[in-house]
Amino acid sequence: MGFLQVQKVKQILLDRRKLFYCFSIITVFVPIIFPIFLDEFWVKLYSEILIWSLLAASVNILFGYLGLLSFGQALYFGFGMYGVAIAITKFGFGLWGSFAIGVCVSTAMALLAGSLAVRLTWHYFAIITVVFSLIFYFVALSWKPVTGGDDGLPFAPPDIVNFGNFKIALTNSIHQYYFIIFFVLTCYYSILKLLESPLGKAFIAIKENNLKSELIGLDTYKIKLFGFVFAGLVAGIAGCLFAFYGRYASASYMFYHVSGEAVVWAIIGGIGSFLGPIVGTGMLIVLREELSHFWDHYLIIVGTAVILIVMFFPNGIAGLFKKILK
Amino acid sequence: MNEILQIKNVNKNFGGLKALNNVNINIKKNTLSAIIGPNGAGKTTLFNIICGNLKSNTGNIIFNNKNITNFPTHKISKLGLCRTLQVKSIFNNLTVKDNLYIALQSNKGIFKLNNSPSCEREIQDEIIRISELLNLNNKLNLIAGSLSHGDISVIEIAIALCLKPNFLLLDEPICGMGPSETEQTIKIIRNLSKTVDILIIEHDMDAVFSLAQDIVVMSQGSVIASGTPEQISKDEKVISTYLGEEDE
Repeated sequence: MGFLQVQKVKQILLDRRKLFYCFSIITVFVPIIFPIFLDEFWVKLYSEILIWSLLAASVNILFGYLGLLSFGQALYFGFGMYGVAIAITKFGFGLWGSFAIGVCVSTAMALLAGSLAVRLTWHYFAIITVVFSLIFYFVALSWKPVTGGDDGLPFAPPDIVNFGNFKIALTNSIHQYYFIIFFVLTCYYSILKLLESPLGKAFIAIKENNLKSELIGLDTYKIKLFGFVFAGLVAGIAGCLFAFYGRYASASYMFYHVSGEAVVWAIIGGIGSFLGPIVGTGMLIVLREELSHFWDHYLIIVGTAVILIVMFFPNGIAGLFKKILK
Repeated sequence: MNEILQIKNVNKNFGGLKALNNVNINIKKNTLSAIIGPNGAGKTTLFNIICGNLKSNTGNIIFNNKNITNFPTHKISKLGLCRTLQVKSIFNNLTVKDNLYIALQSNKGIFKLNNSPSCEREIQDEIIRISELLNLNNKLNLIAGSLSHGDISVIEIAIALCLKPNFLLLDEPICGMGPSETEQTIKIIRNLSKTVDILIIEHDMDAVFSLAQDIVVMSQGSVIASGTPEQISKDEKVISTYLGEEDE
Protein backbone atom coordinates (compact mmCIF):
# COMPACT_ATOMS: atom_id res chain seq x y z
CA MET A 1 0.00 0.00 0.00
CA GLY A 2 1.37 3.38 -0.96
CA PHE A 3 1.84 6.29 1.42
CA LEU A 4 -1.28 8.08 0.17
CA GLN A 5 -3.49 5.01 0.68
CA VAL A 6 -2.09 4.58 4.20
CA GLN A 7 -2.95 8.22 4.95
CA LYS A 8 -6.46 7.67 3.56
CA VAL A 9 -7.02 4.61 5.77
CA LYS A 10 -5.69 6.58 8.76
CA GLN A 11 -8.12 9.41 8.02
CA ILE A 12 -11.05 7.00 7.87
CA LEU A 13 -10.05 5.34 11.14
CA LEU A 14 -9.71 8.69 12.88
CA ASP A 15 -13.01 10.04 11.54
CA ARG A 16 -15.89 8.91 13.77
CA ARG A 17 -18.48 9.13 11.02
CA LYS A 18 -16.46 7.30 8.35
CA LEU A 19 -15.47 4.66 10.87
CA PHE A 20 -19.14 4.15 11.71
CA TYR A 21 -20.02 3.68 8.02
CA CYS A 22 -17.21 1.10 7.64
CA PHE A 23 -18.36 -0.72 10.75
CA SER A 24 -21.98 -0.71 9.51
CA ILE A 25 -21.04 -2.14 6.11
CA ILE A 26 -18.93 -4.90 7.70
CA THR A 27 -21.73 -5.71 10.15
CA VAL A 28 -24.30 -6.00 7.37
CA PHE A 29 -22.10 -8.50 5.53
CA VAL A 30 -21.05 -10.55 8.57
CA PRO A 31 -23.54 -13.41 7.88
CA ILE A 32 -21.93 -13.75 4.44
CA ILE A 33 -18.28 -13.20 5.43
CA PHE A 34 -18.08 -15.12 8.72
CA PRO A 35 -19.31 -18.53 7.46
CA ILE A 36 -16.48 -18.56 4.90
CA PHE A 37 -13.86 -18.80 7.68
CA LEU A 38 -15.75 -19.58 10.86
CA ASP A 39 -18.52 -21.60 12.39
CA GLU A 40 -22.15 -20.35 12.23
CA PHE A 41 -21.86 -19.92 16.01
CA TRP A 42 -19.68 -16.83 15.54
CA VAL A 43 -22.40 -14.96 13.66
CA LYS A 44 -24.70 -15.54 16.62
CA LEU A 45 -21.96 -14.52 19.04
CA TYR A 46 -21.32 -11.36 17.00
CA SER A 47 -24.96 -10.33 17.35
CA GLU A 48 -24.75 -11.02 21.10
CA ILE A 49 -21.61 -8.87 21.31
CA LEU A 50 -23.41 -6.05 19.49
CA ILE A 51 -26.30 -6.17 21.97
CA TRP A 52 -23.99 -6.14 24.98
CA SER A 53 -21.93 -3.39 23.38
CA LEU A 54 -25.02 -1.17 23.57
CA LEU A 55 -24.99 -1.61 27.35
CA ALA A 56 -21.30 -0.63 27.36
CA ALA A 57 -22.15 2.28 25.03
CA SER A 58 -24.69 3.54 27.56
CA VAL A 59 -21.91 3.52 30.17
CA ASN A 60 -19.69 5.33 27.67
CA ILE A 61 -22.29 8.06 27.07
CA LEU A 62 -22.38 8.79 30.78
CA PHE A 63 -18.78 8.22 31.80
CA GLY A 64 -16.97 8.97 28.57
CA TYR A 65 -18.85 12.11 27.57
CA LEU A 66 -20.49 13.44 30.73
CA GLY A 67 -18.03 12.22 33.37
CA LEU A 68 -20.74 10.34 35.30
CA LEU A 69 -19.70 6.84 36.36
CA SER A 70 -22.84 4.70 36.57
CA PHE A 71 -22.86 1.22 38.07
CA GLY A 72 -26.57 0.87 37.46
CA GLN A 73 -27.06 0.61 33.70
CA ALA A 74 -28.13 -3.03 34.05
CA LEU A 75 -31.30 -1.73 35.72
CA TYR A 76 -32.53 -0.22 32.43
CA PHE A 77 -31.31 -3.28 30.55
CA GLY A 78 -33.39 -5.42 32.93
CA PHE A 79 -36.41 -3.13 32.59
CA GLY A 80 -36.17 -3.49 28.82
CA MET A 81 -36.03 -7.29 29.16
CA TYR A 82 -38.93 -7.47 31.58
CA GLY A 83 -40.95 -4.92 29.60
CA VAL A 84 -40.78 -7.22 26.59
CA ALA A 85 -41.29 -10.49 28.51
CA ILE A 86 -44.20 -9.27 30.64
CA ALA A 87 -45.92 -7.56 27.70
CA ILE A 88 -45.78 -10.82 25.72
CA THR A 89 -46.54 -13.34 28.47
CA LYS A 90 -49.03 -11.40 30.60
CA PHE A 91 -50.71 -9.10 28.09
CA GLY A 92 -50.33 -10.97 24.83
CA PHE A 93 -48.59 -8.13 22.98
CA GLY A 94 -46.89 -8.72 19.64
CA LEU A 95 -43.22 -8.10 18.94
CA TRP A 96 -43.45 -4.39 18.14
CA GLY A 97 -45.86 -3.60 20.98
CA SER A 98 -43.73 -5.44 23.53
CA PHE A 99 -40.59 -3.78 22.14
CA ALA A 100 -42.21 -0.34 22.53
CA ILE A 101 -43.26 -1.17 26.10
CA GLY A 102 -39.75 -2.40 26.96
CA VAL A 103 -38.19 0.80 25.62
CA CYS A 104 -40.79 3.03 27.34
CA VAL A 105 -40.50 1.45 30.80
CA SER A 106 -36.70 1.48 30.75
CA THR A 107 -36.65 5.13 29.63
CA ALA A 108 -39.24 6.06 32.26
CA MET A 109 -37.15 4.32 34.92
CA ALA A 110 -34.06 6.21 33.73
CA LEU A 111 -36.00 9.47 33.98
CA LEU A 112 -37.09 8.65 37.53
CA ALA A 113 -33.64 7.52 38.74
CA GLY A 114 -31.83 10.22 36.76
CA SER A 115 -33.89 13.08 38.16
CA LEU A 116 -32.41 12.24 41.56
CA ALA A 117 -29.02 10.84 40.57
CA VAL A 118 -27.74 13.65 38.34
CA ARG A 119 -28.01 16.11 41.23
CA LEU A 120 -25.06 14.21 42.71
CA THR A 121 -21.46 13.88 41.56
CA TRP A 122 -18.70 11.30 41.59
CA HIS A 123 -18.94 8.53 44.22
CA TYR A 124 -22.34 9.77 45.43
CA PHE A 125 -23.64 9.46 41.88
CA ALA A 126 -22.09 5.98 41.46
CA ILE A 127 -23.58 4.82 44.78
CA ILE A 128 -27.11 6.02 44.04
CA THR A 129 -27.07 4.24 40.65
CA VAL A 130 -26.08 1.00 42.43
CA VAL A 131 -28.78 1.53 45.06
CA PHE A 132 -31.50 1.94 42.43
CA SER A 133 -30.23 -1.15 40.65
CA LEU A 134 -30.22 -3.22 43.87
CA ILE A 135 -33.72 -2.13 44.93
CA PHE A 136 -35.29 -3.23 41.66
CA TYR A 137 -33.13 -6.36 41.48
CA PHE A 138 -34.59 -7.54 44.79
CA VAL A 139 -38.10 -6.48 43.75
CA ALA A 140 -37.75 -8.53 40.55
CA LEU A 141 -36.34 -11.46 42.50
CA SER A 142 -39.13 -11.54 45.06
CA TRP A 143 -42.11 -10.66 42.85
CA LYS A 144 -42.31 -14.18 41.50
CA PRO A 145 -45.86 -14.16 40.04
CA VAL A 146 -44.94 -11.32 37.67
CA THR A 147 -41.19 -11.67 37.08
CA GLY A 148 -40.69 -15.39 37.57
CA GLY A 149 -38.17 -14.64 40.33
CA ASP A 150 -35.10 -16.91 40.21
CA ASP A 151 -36.40 -18.87 37.24
CA GLY A 152 -36.90 -15.82 35.05
CA LEU A 153 -39.68 -15.36 32.53
CA PRO A 154 -39.37 -17.42 29.34
CA PHE A 155 -41.51 -16.61 26.31
CA ALA A 156 -41.95 -17.54 22.67
CA PRO A 157 -41.04 -14.52 20.54
CA PRO A 158 -43.82 -13.27 18.26
CA ASP A 159 -43.09 -12.86 14.54
CA ILE A 160 -41.47 -9.67 13.29
CA VAL A 161 -43.82 -9.54 10.30
CA ASN A 162 -46.64 -11.94 9.51
CA PHE A 163 -48.82 -11.35 6.43
CA GLY A 164 -50.42 -14.65 5.45
CA ASN A 165 -47.64 -16.68 3.88
CA PHE A 166 -45.09 -13.92 4.19
CA LYS A 167 -43.38 -14.28 7.55
CA ILE A 168 -40.26 -12.78 9.07
CA ALA A 169 -39.52 -14.43 12.40
CA LEU A 170 -36.84 -14.35 15.06
CA THR A 171 -36.69 -18.16 14.86
CA ASN A 172 -34.85 -17.69 11.58
CA SER A 173 -31.26 -16.88 12.58
CA ILE A 174 -30.66 -14.58 9.58
CA HIS A 175 -33.88 -12.61 10.25
CA GLN A 176 -32.93 -12.35 13.90
CA TYR A 177 -29.44 -11.12 13.01
CA TYR A 178 -30.73 -8.35 10.76
CA PHE A 179 -33.44 -7.43 13.24
CA ILE A 180 -30.78 -6.99 15.93
CA ILE A 181 -28.26 -5.09 13.81
CA PHE A 182 -30.94 -2.73 12.51
CA PHE A 183 -31.55 -1.49 16.06
CA VAL A 184 -27.91 -1.65 17.13
CA LEU A 185 -26.78 0.44 14.16
CA THR A 186 -29.68 2.87 14.67
CA CYS A 187 -28.60 3.31 18.29
CA TYR A 188 -24.97 3.93 17.31
CA TYR A 189 -26.05 6.40 14.62
CA SER A 190 -28.17 8.26 17.19
CA ILE A 191 -25.20 8.40 19.55
CA LEU A 192 -23.06 9.72 16.70
CA LYS A 193 -25.63 12.42 15.88
CA LEU A 194 -25.83 13.38 19.53
CA LEU A 195 -22.05 13.68 19.85
CA GLU A 196 -21.87 15.88 16.75
CA SER A 197 -24.71 18.12 17.92
CA PRO A 198 -24.39 21.24 20.12
CA LEU A 199 -25.67 19.06 22.97
CA GLY A 200 -22.71 16.71 22.48
CA LYS A 201 -20.38 19.69 22.84
CA ALA A 202 -22.18 20.66 26.03
CA PHE A 203 -21.60 17.10 27.32
CA ILE A 204 -17.85 17.52 26.81
CA ALA A 205 -17.91 20.95 28.49
CA ILE A 206 -19.67 19.54 31.56
CA LYS A 207 -17.25 16.63 31.77
CA GLU A 208 -14.33 19.05 31.52
CA ASN A 209 -15.54 21.64 34.01
CA ASN A 210 -19.00 21.54 35.57
CA LEU A 211 -18.76 24.88 37.38
CA LYS A 212 -17.51 26.70 34.31
CA SER A 213 -20.29 25.13 32.25
CA GLU A 214 -22.85 26.65 34.60
CA LEU A 215 -21.07 29.99 34.46
CA ILE A 216 -21.37 30.04 30.67
CA GLY A 217 -25.10 29.51 30.97
CA LEU A 218 -25.44 25.75 30.50
CA ASP A 219 -28.24 24.18 32.53
CA THR A 220 -26.07 21.31 33.68
CA TYR A 221 -28.91 19.54 35.50
CA LYS A 222 -31.12 19.37 32.40
CA ILE A 223 -28.23 18.37 30.14
CA LYS A 224 -27.05 15.63 32.51
CA LEU A 225 -30.61 14.38 32.90
CA PHE A 226 -31.01 14.25 29.13
CA GLY A 227 -27.75 12.27 28.87
CA PHE A 228 -28.85 9.92 31.65
CA VAL A 229 -32.25 9.24 30.04
CA PHE A 230 -30.66 8.78 26.62
CA ALA A 231 -28.16 6.30 28.09
CA GLY A 232 -31.08 4.53 29.82
CA LEU A 233 -32.93 4.36 26.50
CA VAL A 234 -29.89 2.76 24.81
CA ALA A 235 -29.50 0.25 27.66
CA GLY A 236 -33.25 -0.41 27.50
CA ILE A 237 -33.10 -1.16 23.77
CA ALA A 238 -30.18 -3.52 24.47
CA GLY A 239 -32.32 -5.24 27.13
CA CYS A 240 -35.26 -5.63 24.72
CA LEU A 241 -32.99 -7.07 22.02
CA PHE A 242 -31.38 -9.45 24.49
CA ALA A 243 -34.80 -10.62 25.66
CA PHE A 244 -35.74 -11.44 22.02
CA TYR A 245 -32.34 -13.04 21.51
CA GLY A 246 -32.47 -15.23 24.64
CA ARG A 247 -36.30 -15.64 24.65
CA TYR A 248 -36.53 -14.85 28.32
CA ALA A 249 -36.03 -12.20 31.01
CA SER A 250 -34.28 -12.72 34.31
CA ALA A 251 -33.61 -10.64 37.40
CA SER A 252 -29.97 -11.74 37.31
CA TYR A 253 -29.39 -9.35 34.38
CA MET A 254 -30.41 -6.44 36.59
CA PHE A 255 -27.74 -7.15 39.17
CA TYR A 256 -25.03 -4.52 39.58
CA HIS A 257 -22.42 -7.12 38.65
CA VAL A 258 -23.76 -6.88 35.07
CA SER A 259 -23.43 -3.09 35.21
CA GLY A 260 -19.87 -3.52 36.47
CA GLU A 261 -19.07 -5.77 33.54
CA ALA A 262 -20.39 -3.10 31.14
CA VAL A 263 -18.15 -0.51 32.85
CA VAL A 264 -15.14 -2.82 32.33
CA TRP A 265 -16.05 -3.35 28.65
CA ALA A 266 -16.34 0.39 28.12
CA ILE A 267 -13.05 1.13 29.88
CA ILE A 268 -11.14 -1.61 28.06
CA GLY A 269 -12.55 -0.52 24.71
CA GLY A 270 -11.71 3.10 25.40
CA ILE A 271 -13.81 5.45 27.44
CA GLY A 272 -14.83 8.47 25.37
CA SER A 273 -14.23 6.59 22.10
CA PHE A 274 -17.33 6.25 19.96
CA LEU A 275 -16.81 2.62 18.94
CA GLY A 276 -14.70 1.72 21.99
CA PRO A 277 -17.60 -0.16 23.65
CA ILE A 278 -17.80 -2.57 20.69
CA VAL A 279 -14.04 -3.19 20.82
CA GLY A 280 -14.04 -3.79 24.59
CA THR A 281 -17.18 -5.92 24.64
CA GLY A 282 -16.05 -7.91 21.63
CA MET A 283 -12.60 -8.58 23.01
CA LEU A 284 -13.73 -9.66 26.45
CA ILE A 285 -16.63 -11.82 25.26
CA VAL A 286 -14.43 -13.57 22.68
CA LEU A 287 -11.75 -14.08 25.36
CA ARG A 288 -14.40 -15.55 27.65
CA GLU A 289 -15.71 -17.87 24.92
CA GLU A 290 -12.26 -19.09 23.90
CA LEU A 291 -10.67 -19.47 27.33
CA SER A 292 -13.65 -21.01 29.12
CA HIS A 293 -13.21 -24.15 26.93
CA PHE A 294 -9.77 -24.77 28.33
CA TRP A 295 -9.83 -23.57 31.91
CA ASP A 296 -12.62 -23.10 34.46
CA HIS A 297 -10.76 -20.24 36.13
CA TYR A 298 -10.38 -18.30 32.87
CA LEU A 299 -11.56 -15.13 34.64
CA ILE A 300 -8.09 -14.89 36.24
CA ILE A 301 -6.59 -14.40 32.77
CA VAL A 302 -9.35 -11.99 31.74
CA GLY A 303 -8.85 -10.02 34.98
CA THR A 304 -5.09 -9.85 34.47
CA ALA A 305 -5.57 -8.62 30.89
CA VAL A 306 -7.98 -5.96 32.15
CA ILE A 307 -5.54 -4.77 34.84
CA LEU A 308 -2.68 -4.57 32.34
CA ILE A 309 -4.75 -2.62 29.83
CA VAL A 310 -6.00 -0.17 32.46
CA MET A 311 -2.45 0.32 33.80
CA PHE A 312 -0.61 0.72 30.51
CA PHE A 313 -3.33 2.00 28.17
CA PRO A 314 -5.68 4.14 30.29
CA ASN A 315 -7.54 5.26 27.17
CA GLY A 316 -8.31 1.66 26.29
CA ILE A 317 -7.71 -0.18 23.07
CA ALA A 318 -9.44 2.41 20.90
CA GLY A 319 -7.37 5.13 22.59
CA LEU A 320 -4.19 3.17 21.88
CA PHE A 321 -5.11 2.80 18.20
CA LYS A 322 -5.87 6.50 17.95
CA LYS A 323 -2.47 7.29 19.47
CA ILE A 324 -0.69 5.01 17.02
CA LEU A 325 -2.57 6.45 14.05
CA LYS A 326 -1.90 10.04 15.06
CA MET B 1 -32.31 53.73 37.76
CA ASN B 2 -28.65 54.51 37.57
CA GLU B 3 -27.52 51.27 39.23
CA ILE B 4 -26.74 48.09 37.35
CA LEU B 5 -26.36 46.05 40.54
CA GLN B 6 -27.81 46.56 43.99
CA ILE B 7 -26.84 44.38 46.90
CA LYS B 8 -29.30 44.87 49.74
CA ASN B 9 -28.80 43.67 53.33
CA VAL B 10 -27.06 40.46 52.27
CA ASN B 11 -26.00 38.11 55.06
CA LYS B 12 -24.18 34.82 54.76
CA ASN B 13 -23.16 32.46 57.53
CA PHE B 14 -21.03 29.34 57.29
CA GLY B 15 -22.00 27.59 60.50
CA GLY B 16 -20.94 29.95 63.25
CA LEU B 17 -18.83 32.09 60.94
CA LYS B 18 -20.41 35.28 59.65
CA ALA B 19 -18.93 35.60 56.16
CA LEU B 20 -21.12 38.54 55.10
CA ASN B 21 -22.69 40.91 57.57
CA ASN B 22 -25.53 43.05 56.26
CA VAL B 23 -23.76 44.04 53.05
CA ASN B 24 -25.23 46.94 51.06
CA ILE B 25 -23.54 47.96 47.82
CA ASN B 26 -24.77 49.89 44.78
CA ILE B 27 -22.82 49.58 41.54
CA LYS B 28 -23.45 52.39 39.06
CA LYS B 29 -23.93 51.87 35.34
CA ASN B 30 -21.11 52.88 32.97
CA THR B 31 -18.42 52.58 35.60
CA LEU B 32 -15.55 50.28 36.36
CA SER B 33 -15.91 49.48 40.05
CA ALA B 34 -13.72 47.49 42.37
CA ILE B 35 -14.10 45.69 45.67
CA ILE B 36 -10.99 45.54 47.79
CA GLY B 37 -10.25 44.21 51.23
CA PRO B 38 -7.87 41.95 53.11
CA ASN B 39 -8.05 38.15 52.82
CA GLY B 40 -11.21 36.79 54.42
CA ALA B 41 -13.13 40.03 53.92
CA GLY B 42 -15.91 38.17 52.08
CA LYS B 43 -15.29 39.52 48.58
CA THR B 44 -15.35 36.17 46.75
CA THR B 45 -18.26 34.96 48.90
CA LEU B 46 -20.16 38.04 47.74
CA PHE B 47 -19.32 37.26 44.09
CA ASN B 48 -20.47 33.68 44.63
CA ILE B 49 -23.79 34.91 45.99
CA ILE B 50 -24.27 37.43 43.18
CA CYS B 51 -23.69 34.69 40.58
CA GLY B 52 -25.80 32.03 42.26
CA ASN B 53 -22.90 29.76 43.23
CA LEU B 54 -23.89 30.27 46.87
CA LYS B 55 -27.25 31.06 48.43
CA SER B 56 -27.48 34.01 50.81
CA ASN B 57 -29.18 33.62 54.20
CA THR B 58 -31.00 36.93 53.86
CA GLY B 59 -31.00 39.96 51.57
CA ASN B 60 -31.59 40.68 47.91
CA ILE B 61 -29.53 41.01 44.76
CA ILE B 62 -31.08 43.30 42.16
CA PHE B 63 -29.52 43.20 38.70
CA ASN B 64 -30.83 45.62 36.07
CA ASN B 65 -33.98 46.14 38.17
CA LYS B 66 -34.59 42.39 38.37
CA ASN B 67 -34.44 40.52 41.65
CA ILE B 68 -32.02 37.64 40.96
CA THR B 69 -31.58 36.53 44.58
CA ASN B 70 -30.76 32.80 44.69
CA PHE B 71 -31.33 32.34 40.95
CA PRO B 72 -29.39 29.36 39.52
CA THR B 73 -26.00 30.26 38.05
CA HIS B 74 -26.89 29.42 34.44
CA LYS B 75 -29.96 31.67 34.53
CA ILE B 76 -27.96 34.58 35.92
CA SER B 77 -25.39 34.10 33.16
CA LYS B 78 -28.17 34.19 30.55
CA LEU B 79 -29.26 37.58 31.94
CA GLY B 80 -25.87 38.97 30.95
CA LEU B 81 -24.14 38.87 34.33
CA CYS B 82 -20.94 36.92 33.79
CA ARG B 83 -17.92 36.26 35.95
CA THR B 84 -14.40 34.92 35.99
CA LEU B 85 -13.08 32.93 38.92
CA GLN B 86 -10.28 33.57 41.40
CA VAL B 87 -8.73 30.17 40.55
CA LYS B 88 -8.67 30.43 36.77
CA SER B 89 -11.25 28.13 35.29
CA ILE B 90 -11.46 27.21 31.62
CA PHE B 91 -11.92 23.98 29.64
CA ASN B 92 -8.30 22.89 29.97
CA ASN B 93 -8.23 19.93 27.58
CA LEU B 94 -9.94 21.74 24.73
CA THR B 95 -8.37 24.15 22.27
CA VAL B 96 -8.78 27.89 22.82
CA LYS B 97 -11.14 27.92 19.85
CA ASP B 98 -13.33 25.18 21.35
CA ASN B 99 -13.43 27.09 24.65
CA LEU B 100 -14.88 30.07 22.85
CA TYR B 101 -17.08 27.90 20.63
CA ILE B 102 -18.83 26.25 23.57
CA ALA B 103 -19.51 29.59 25.24
CA LEU B 104 -20.93 31.02 22.00
CA GLN B 105 -22.95 27.86 21.41
CA SER B 106 -24.40 28.16 24.90
CA ASN B 107 -25.69 31.58 23.92
CA LYS B 108 -27.25 30.24 20.72
CA GLY B 109 -28.98 27.29 22.38
CA ILE B 110 -27.85 23.77 23.15
CA PHE B 111 -30.88 21.53 22.71
CA LYS B 112 -30.75 21.13 18.95
CA LEU B 113 -29.25 18.65 16.50
CA ASN B 114 -27.46 21.13 14.25
CA ASN B 115 -26.59 24.78 13.87
CA SER B 116 -27.99 26.47 10.79
CA PRO B 117 -25.21 27.59 8.37
CA SER B 118 -25.84 31.24 9.28
CA CYS B 119 -25.62 30.43 13.02
CA GLU B 120 -22.39 28.49 12.45
CA ARG B 121 -20.97 31.42 10.46
CA GLU B 122 -21.92 33.85 13.22
CA ILE B 123 -20.13 31.68 15.79
CA GLN B 124 -16.98 31.50 13.66
CA ASP B 125 -17.04 35.28 13.07
CA GLU B 126 -17.45 35.94 16.78
CA ILE B 127 -14.51 33.64 17.59
CA ILE B 128 -12.34 35.67 15.21
CA ARG B 129 -13.60 39.03 16.51
CA ILE B 130 -13.11 38.20 20.21
CA SER B 131 -9.76 36.48 19.72
CA GLU B 132 -8.47 39.51 17.78
CA LEU B 133 -9.78 41.86 20.47
CA LEU B 134 -7.85 39.97 23.16
CA ASN B 135 -4.79 39.03 21.09
CA LEU B 136 -5.61 35.34 21.16
CA ASN B 137 -5.85 34.89 17.39
CA ASN B 138 -2.52 33.09 17.04
CA LYS B 139 -3.33 30.71 19.91
CA LEU B 140 -6.75 29.50 18.78
CA ASN B 141 -5.64 25.98 17.90
CA LEU B 142 -3.54 25.41 21.01
CA ILE B 143 -4.74 23.35 23.96
CA ALA B 144 -5.95 25.96 26.43
CA GLY B 145 -4.56 24.26 29.54
CA SER B 146 -1.05 24.26 28.08
CA LEU B 147 -0.86 28.06 27.92
CA SER B 148 0.65 30.47 30.44
CA HIS B 149 -1.27 31.71 33.48
CA GLY B 150 -1.66 35.13 31.85
CA ASP B 151 -3.10 33.62 28.66
CA ILE B 152 -5.51 31.46 30.65
CA SER B 153 -6.74 34.54 32.47
CA VAL B 154 -7.33 36.27 29.12
CA ILE B 155 -9.12 33.16 27.77
CA GLU B 156 -11.42 33.31 30.78
CA ILE B 157 -12.26 36.91 29.94
CA ALA B 158 -12.74 35.92 26.29
CA ILE B 159 -15.20 33.17 27.32
CA ALA B 160 -17.12 35.72 29.37
CA LEU B 161 -17.23 38.09 26.38
CA CYS B 162 -18.66 35.30 24.19
CA LEU B 163 -21.71 35.41 26.44
CA LYS B 164 -22.35 39.04 25.41
CA PRO B 165 -22.38 40.27 29.00
CA ASN B 166 -23.68 43.64 30.11
CA PHE B 167 -21.99 43.26 33.46
CA LEU B 168 -18.71 41.48 34.09
CA LEU B 169 -17.39 40.35 37.47
CA LEU B 170 -13.64 39.74 37.42
CA ASP B 171 -12.25 37.95 40.47
CA GLU B 172 -8.55 38.83 40.82
CA PRO B 173 -7.91 38.99 37.06
CA ILE B 174 -4.19 39.78 37.38
CA CYS B 175 -3.42 37.52 40.33
CA GLY B 176 -0.18 35.57 39.79
CA MET B 177 0.85 37.43 36.63
CA GLY B 178 4.25 38.84 35.78
CA PRO B 179 4.68 42.61 35.15
CA SER B 180 4.24 42.45 31.36
CA GLU B 181 1.18 40.18 31.55
CA THR B 182 -0.28 42.45 34.25
CA GLU B 183 0.20 45.49 32.08
CA GLN B 184 -1.40 43.77 29.09
CA THR B 185 -4.40 42.53 31.11
CA ILE B 186 -4.98 45.96 32.68
CA LYS B 187 -5.01 47.39 29.18
CA ILE B 188 -7.57 44.79 28.09
CA ILE B 189 -9.80 45.47 31.12
CA ARG B 190 -9.61 49.23 30.54
CA ASN B 191 -10.63 48.78 26.90
CA LEU B 192 -13.47 46.43 27.84
CA SER B 193 -14.82 48.87 30.39
CA LYS B 194 -15.69 51.23 27.52
CA THR B 195 -18.37 48.78 26.35
CA VAL B 196 -19.23 46.64 29.39
CA ASP B 197 -19.78 47.52 33.04
CA ILE B 198 -17.15 45.81 35.15
CA LEU B 199 -16.75 45.01 38.83
CA ILE B 200 -13.38 43.62 39.88
CA ILE B 201 -11.93 42.15 43.02
CA GLU B 202 -8.20 42.78 43.14
CA HIS B 203 -5.37 42.82 45.66
CA ASP B 204 -2.99 44.81 43.50
CA MET B 205 -3.68 48.34 44.76
CA ASP B 206 -1.79 50.05 41.94
CA ALA B 207 -3.99 48.24 39.43
CA VAL B 208 -7.19 49.02 41.34
CA PHE B 209 -6.43 52.70 41.77
CA SER B 210 -5.42 53.08 38.13
CA LEU B 211 -8.51 51.26 36.81
CA ALA B 212 -11.49 51.85 39.09
CA GLN B 213 -13.76 54.85 39.17
CA ASP B 214 -15.56 53.56 42.26
CA ILE B 215 -14.12 51.46 45.05
CA VAL B 216 -15.86 49.50 47.81
CA VAL B 217 -13.76 48.38 50.76
CA MET B 218 -14.75 45.31 52.76
CA SER B 219 -13.37 43.92 55.96
CA GLN B 220 -14.53 40.92 57.98
CA GLY B 221 -17.73 40.53 55.99
CA SER B 222 -18.83 44.18 56.15
CA VAL B 223 -18.52 47.20 53.89
CA ILE B 224 -16.33 49.74 55.70
CA ALA B 225 -16.05 52.40 53.00
CA SER B 226 -17.00 53.26 49.46
CA GLY B 227 -16.24 56.13 47.11
CA THR B 228 -13.84 57.39 44.49
CA PRO B 229 -10.16 56.32 44.62
CA GLU B 230 -9.24 59.73 46.13
CA GLN B 231 -11.82 59.40 48.89
CA ILE B 232 -10.78 55.80 49.64
CA SER B 233 -7.06 56.64 49.78
CA LYS B 234 -7.78 59.24 52.47
CA ASP B 235 -10.35 57.20 54.45
CA GLU B 236 -9.08 56.57 57.97
CA LYS B 237 -10.94 53.31 58.42
CA VAL B 238 -9.41 51.96 55.21
CA ILE B 239 -5.94 53.09 56.21
CA SER B 240 -6.23 51.42 59.61
CA THR B 241 -7.58 48.22 58.02
CA TYR B 242 -4.69 47.98 55.60
CA LEU B 243 -1.89 49.44 57.70
CA GLY B 244 -3.12 48.71 61.23
CA GLU B 245 -3.89 51.14 64.07
CA GLU B 246 -1.05 53.46 65.11
CA ASP B 247 0.21 52.80 68.67
CA GLU B 248 -0.73 55.53 71.12
